[in-house]
Amino acid sequence: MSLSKRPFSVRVRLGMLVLLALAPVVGLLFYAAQEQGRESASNARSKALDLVKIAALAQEYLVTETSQLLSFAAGNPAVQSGDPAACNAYLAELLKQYPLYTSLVVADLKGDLYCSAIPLAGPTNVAARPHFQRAVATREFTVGGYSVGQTTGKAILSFGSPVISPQGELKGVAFAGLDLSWLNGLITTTQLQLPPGSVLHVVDSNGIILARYLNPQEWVGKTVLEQPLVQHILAARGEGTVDGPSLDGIPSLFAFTFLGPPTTTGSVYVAVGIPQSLAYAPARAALQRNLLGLGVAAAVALAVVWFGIELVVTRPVRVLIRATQRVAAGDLKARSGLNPRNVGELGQLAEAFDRMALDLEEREGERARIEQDRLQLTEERVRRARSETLLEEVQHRVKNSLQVAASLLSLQADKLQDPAGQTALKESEARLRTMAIVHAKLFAQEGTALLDFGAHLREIVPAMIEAQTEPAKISWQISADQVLLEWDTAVPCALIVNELVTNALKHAFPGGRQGAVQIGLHEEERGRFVLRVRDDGVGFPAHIDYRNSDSLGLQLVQALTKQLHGTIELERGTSTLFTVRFSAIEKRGL
Amino acid sequence: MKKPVVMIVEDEQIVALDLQAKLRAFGYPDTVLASSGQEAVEKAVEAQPDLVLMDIMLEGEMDGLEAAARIREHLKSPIIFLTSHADDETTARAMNVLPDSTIRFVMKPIQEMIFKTTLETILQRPAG
Repeated sequence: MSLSKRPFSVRVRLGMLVLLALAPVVGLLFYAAQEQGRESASNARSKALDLVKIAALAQEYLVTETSQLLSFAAGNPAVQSGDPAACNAYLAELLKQYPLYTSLVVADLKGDLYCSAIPLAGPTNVAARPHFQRAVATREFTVGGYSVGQTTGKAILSFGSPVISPQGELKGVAFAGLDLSWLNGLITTTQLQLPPGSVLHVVDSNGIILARYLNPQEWVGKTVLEQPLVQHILAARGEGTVDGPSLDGIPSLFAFTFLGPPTTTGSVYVAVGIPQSLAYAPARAALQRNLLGLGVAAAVALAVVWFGIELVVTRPVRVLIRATQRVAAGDLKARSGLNPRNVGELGQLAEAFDRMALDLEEREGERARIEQDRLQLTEERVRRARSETLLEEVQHRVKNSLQVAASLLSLQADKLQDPAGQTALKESEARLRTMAIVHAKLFAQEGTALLDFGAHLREIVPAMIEAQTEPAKISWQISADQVLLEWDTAVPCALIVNELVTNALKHAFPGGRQGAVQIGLHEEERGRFVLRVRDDGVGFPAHIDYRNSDSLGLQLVQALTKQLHGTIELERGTSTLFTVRFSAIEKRGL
Repeated sequence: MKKPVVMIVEDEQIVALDLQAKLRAFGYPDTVLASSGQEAVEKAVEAQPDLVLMDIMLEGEMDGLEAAARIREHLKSPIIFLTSHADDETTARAMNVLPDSTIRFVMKPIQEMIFKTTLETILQRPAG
């Protein structure tokens, strides 16, 4: 997998999620900040507009005041008298009291100045001035136009007021010149608290700057009609605000309005410019504050998420991953060990994992136990199979050997000429075969080493009788329970039956005598049996003590009965009955 | 009437001789002896016996059942199996190899009368 396709960690994902969740808040705050900025800008404009309105109001107040001052001065006897000396002194004194004015003069009806607060350089005639003519014509207070003094560089607004005698005779016109630089004082002394760098202009309708706060000497008297600001102000023909470059080229917020009533030279405007960087500073500061706060909040949130996730997510997840890897590697004892109450859903996951690991361990243990048992069982089966194979082989060889031995005796008997010796060998062969048959039957059946001796009798006795007697001479009757005998009991018992039946067939029915042989086998009590062999032949010879007989057969019967912890009885009479009681032999340790 | 020829297949030579003696005593003096499955097949083809006495447990790679099946490919003579393993599995195998009524089982050790009766019963059947 390439690095670029590597999946983000849980921590990074959750961090991104937090940032995503913060996005609307950021947007909202940004919007609010912009709103606040707009409001602040609006406040700045409003504040600037208030300032120019105050300037305009102050101007109107000054005009009214000037009207009253000139009316007052025109009525003074020194002015009425026409005495230049008295008049000059009076006006000079008056000018001291009103420093806003640059000049106070009086002209006669011809327009010649005859009185001045400041000494005149020479004869001056103002008859051509519009406001002189209007004042003479209307006999009312007249506002003249603005003009910029060529020597002072100051913008002066002229006012004219008629000088009328107490008799109502027009005697001349009194003039006052107002220096517009008073507006500077308005800026510096008022409580408007304009930010530093703010400027104030007074512009007339011809685009001539009449006054300016900050660097007036550089700008006053200049025509700036082409400036966008001036164009805007002249086009608006009223009050308003506008954003644009100042005359110095600094982006500023401007507020403007008419300054005072229209003059003889047209309207005059006052405009206040505040650098945008300052006008909108509170809005920007607020925005910056908000964004900074937001940044700090986001950083804190991220830090909390970063380290919190380490504590509540990443660390438990790592613990779980390590435990999972250990289990995958086969260490089923591995557990997360996390406290489910401390880490919420992860705790539940850890608890489920631990339960799963425990189940796995238990199942693995169970599987290992079952496997161990199975292996032991398999080994046991293999051992048993080997034993059984070995046993089978041994049994086969024993049977074979018995068969070979019996065959040897039979062959030998055939070779003997002596009938007694031949008989002896035949009897020995019969005994061997008796043993071999019991052996074969016992081991032909799998899983049990018990011989049903009753069934054995029903099979073996007829064969014996048929083999040793002429056909149809001797009948037989067998009454036998199902008696299950082991090897150690079955072989002696079979030999006893062989000897008693052979003995009966050999001696009881001489000369082709017909008769019957009865065999009985019953279990008298548990583990205790009774065998009866009866014949209805000529009877057991009275002179023979069966306990001390020369007959090998009878000796064998006695020896074998003793081996079976049994007793033997003989009943003589019309029939001969041997009764053998014996017990099942239990031998252990084979 | 020609005396029937009986083939004895038995790897224990003493047992084989005993069987031969018994057969002679029963009136069947003409016998052919074989001690392995392979030898039995070869001699059976050659001697064409009227009856085969076949020990099931034989030395060599071929046991009595297989040898009997091979012999049966060449002649229809009845076969008496001599065995101490007359269990169900052996019987089933024998029936599978020779699915007809011309086979008998005689348990070892051989009881003379049973052996004689079986011989007489099967040899009285018409051959083939």
